[in-house]
Amino acid sequence: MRMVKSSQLYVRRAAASCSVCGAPAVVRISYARLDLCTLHFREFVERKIARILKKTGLSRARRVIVAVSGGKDSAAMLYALASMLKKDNVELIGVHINLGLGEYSEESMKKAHELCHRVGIPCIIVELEKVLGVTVPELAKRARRPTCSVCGLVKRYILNAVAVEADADYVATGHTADDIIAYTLKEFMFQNMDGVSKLAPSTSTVKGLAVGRVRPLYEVTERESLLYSLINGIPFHHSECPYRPRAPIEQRIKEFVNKLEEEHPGIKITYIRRLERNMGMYHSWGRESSYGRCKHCGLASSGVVCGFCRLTEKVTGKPLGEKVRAWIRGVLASLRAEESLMEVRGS
Amino acid sequence: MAKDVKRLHVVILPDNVKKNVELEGSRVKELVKALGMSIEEVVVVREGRPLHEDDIVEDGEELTVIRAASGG
Repeated sequence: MRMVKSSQLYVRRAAASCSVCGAPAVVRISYARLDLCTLHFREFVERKIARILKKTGLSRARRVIVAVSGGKDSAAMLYALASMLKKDNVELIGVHINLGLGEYSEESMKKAHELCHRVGIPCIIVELEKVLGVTVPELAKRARRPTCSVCGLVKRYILNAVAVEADADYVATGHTADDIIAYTLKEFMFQNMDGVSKLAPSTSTVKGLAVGRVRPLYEVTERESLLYSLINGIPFHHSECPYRPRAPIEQRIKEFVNKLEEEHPGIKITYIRRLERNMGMYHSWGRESSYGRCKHCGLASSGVVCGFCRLTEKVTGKPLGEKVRAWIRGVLASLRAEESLMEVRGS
Repeated sequence: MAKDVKRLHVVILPDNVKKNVELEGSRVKELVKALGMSIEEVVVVREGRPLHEDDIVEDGEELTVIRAASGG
């Protein structure tokens, strides 16, 4: 029986061949009417990323902070950026935040570290428990706020703080086309046009206060980023966050939009490209956001005290923004010292 | 003539749910449909190798269905 089966395996042919080179295809991109082999699929994804890099000027940046969660999307993004920006001399620094969500965070941290090492970039690991003395679930519980909103606030604050301290031009995050579609449709439903305007391929920098965001996977779907990670053997942690709500709105929108895409191939990419084109308009509809400086930590704030300092003061009795900034300065200094040591050794 | 039914052992990730599927059909996309999923949200893998949606599945084999729309 086994002999028969293995001979069947031997003669098994790919059902479809690559539209570009004729090799066995691993994926059909319905909207583009393409079947692609691993090589040409990789090219296809990187072409979409290159469009965003060109549009946002990322390939001309000096230094970019890359947010690495350990999941497949940020893994695919970092892997692509590291190989695509090598020739452009852009300095990439990985940042991983250990949020203190138990086993899930430990596994994510391992993968993030492994990935940064693999692509040869430094990885700053911010363990909340060590740096703040408190984890995300504890912060949320003691502040009586939803875990996801506290988590988002903490991540945004720390990424921005690292970028400001490192004098980076951009913070790159692994948001995919599916994320952007789900977030913007949700904002439309709540008629929050200001929220829509913040979901452009890039946002601008306010010197010394806030570093702009760039989303290289803006036109890459989650399925494409998963497949890209798989075919390139990129390490990632594939697991659901233990604190996610049972039925988040974004998740439901994604499922619905994917059904729509199956029936109407191309609807997602059309939406995302038109959204990009209309961003200026949503921006003008939004509130004029004028940034102030937080009186405690000195970073961007819409009020006198920023959200992070307010939260940490409420929970621990002290605003911890400046403490985080000082910790980051220390880590960056030792990173630089290590690098110059390597240079001395190398020469 | 009775329709050809294929028995497949499927592992769904990241949930790590195991399912035995009796599939009336022979292609990867038919398996995805039988699981109530959309081809847009999954990658089906055989022995570590991603499969095309038109690839033929074999009776008795084990396949991994990885959901893309999760985690991240």
